[in-house]
Amino acid sequence: MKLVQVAGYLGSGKTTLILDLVRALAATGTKVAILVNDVGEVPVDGKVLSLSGMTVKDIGGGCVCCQVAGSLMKTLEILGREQKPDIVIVEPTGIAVPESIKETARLAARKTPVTLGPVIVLFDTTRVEKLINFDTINRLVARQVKDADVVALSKVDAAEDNDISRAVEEVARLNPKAKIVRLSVRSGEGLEEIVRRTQQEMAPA
Amino acid sequence: MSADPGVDGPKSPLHQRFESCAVVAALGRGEPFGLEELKRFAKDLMAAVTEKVAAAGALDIGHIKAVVESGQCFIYANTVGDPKDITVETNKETPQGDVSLTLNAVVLGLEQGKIHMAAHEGMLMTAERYRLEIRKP
Ligand SMILES: Nc1nc2c(ncn2[C@@H]2O[C@H](COP(=O)(O)OP(=O)(O)OP(=O)(O)O)[C@@H](O)[C@H]2O)c(=O)[nH]1
Ligand SMILES: [Mg+2]
Repeated sequence: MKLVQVAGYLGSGKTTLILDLVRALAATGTKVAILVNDVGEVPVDGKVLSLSGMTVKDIGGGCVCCQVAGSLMKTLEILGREQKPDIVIVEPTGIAVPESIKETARLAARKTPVTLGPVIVLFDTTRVEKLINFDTINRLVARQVKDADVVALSKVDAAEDNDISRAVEEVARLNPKAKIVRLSVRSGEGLEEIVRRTQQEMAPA
Repeated sequence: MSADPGVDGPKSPLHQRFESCAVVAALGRGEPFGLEELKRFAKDLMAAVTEKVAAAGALDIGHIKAVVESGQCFIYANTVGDPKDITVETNKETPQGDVSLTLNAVVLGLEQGKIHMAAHEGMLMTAERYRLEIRKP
């Protein structure tokens, strides 16, 4: 099974994207498992996805990149043993560091047949100023962008053109290697590209 | 700098000023909701919690989101802080008079107890406006 992260700052559109992404992958016959990890004590994202007809595994109790990295490891082992999906989509918390999750997956790969798919990081183009200049948030977001293989500029349907340009500039500065994709789940822009990237093979874990 | 992979550990230093809290409640009233009214309730709830959290001194709103369930109907409401941008999405089923609520607030620069108090106050204020009683806090 291949682990694909849909990461990015709080409220950037991860769960909304996963709804469309999973439907698109299922339509191609891909067997997908979804792992979600909410910051709060109650799983709102898990509820949204399961009320929308998806089967979801929830990891609670903190952030999977640090506080509950052990639970992520165990869950990957169980998935690899029992459900054996083609792709496992992980939605970490909006404050998670993607590289830490990759490290856990690498460790899990010693016992479980897991490979690393792309890290997709959403960058919310309706809040560019905050993501670039608000202290504390900018450090976290920079780290997320640096860890990305694909940066999806989310909510482009609702953003100003100059904000989208600023976002492109900032992302390219932070991570020149990342593929930048304009994304709107409202208009469908970029979704096909994200689906394609999700299916692409990366280096072994 | 990153945590030990594969083992539970302390919060990453990058998370330090982010706090979260949850509000789970069962609410109800005699007469059933219409879908539009329940959507307004969800929207008002987001606005009230945002306002209370901001008034309590939050540096910034990360994400406030809630699932409101009533009969077969569910609503996903959320905001990242701007009252203009509160969204409500629904499966458009017909709601009833009983409402269950699962809310998460992630906030920057406010301690958890204060977020909880503010979110709870926002919930009570909105429930009262829609004549909802707390069935189970
Ligand atoms: N205009 C617009 N809004 C979007 C788009 N994608 C998501 N949203 C809205 O953004 C808000 C947050 O979306 P979520 O999918 O819950 O965000 P998230 O990243 O999963 O949030 P957390 O898990 O709390 O970090 C919701 O109100 C969505 O409706 C988009 O493409 N365009
Ligand atoms: Mg989410």
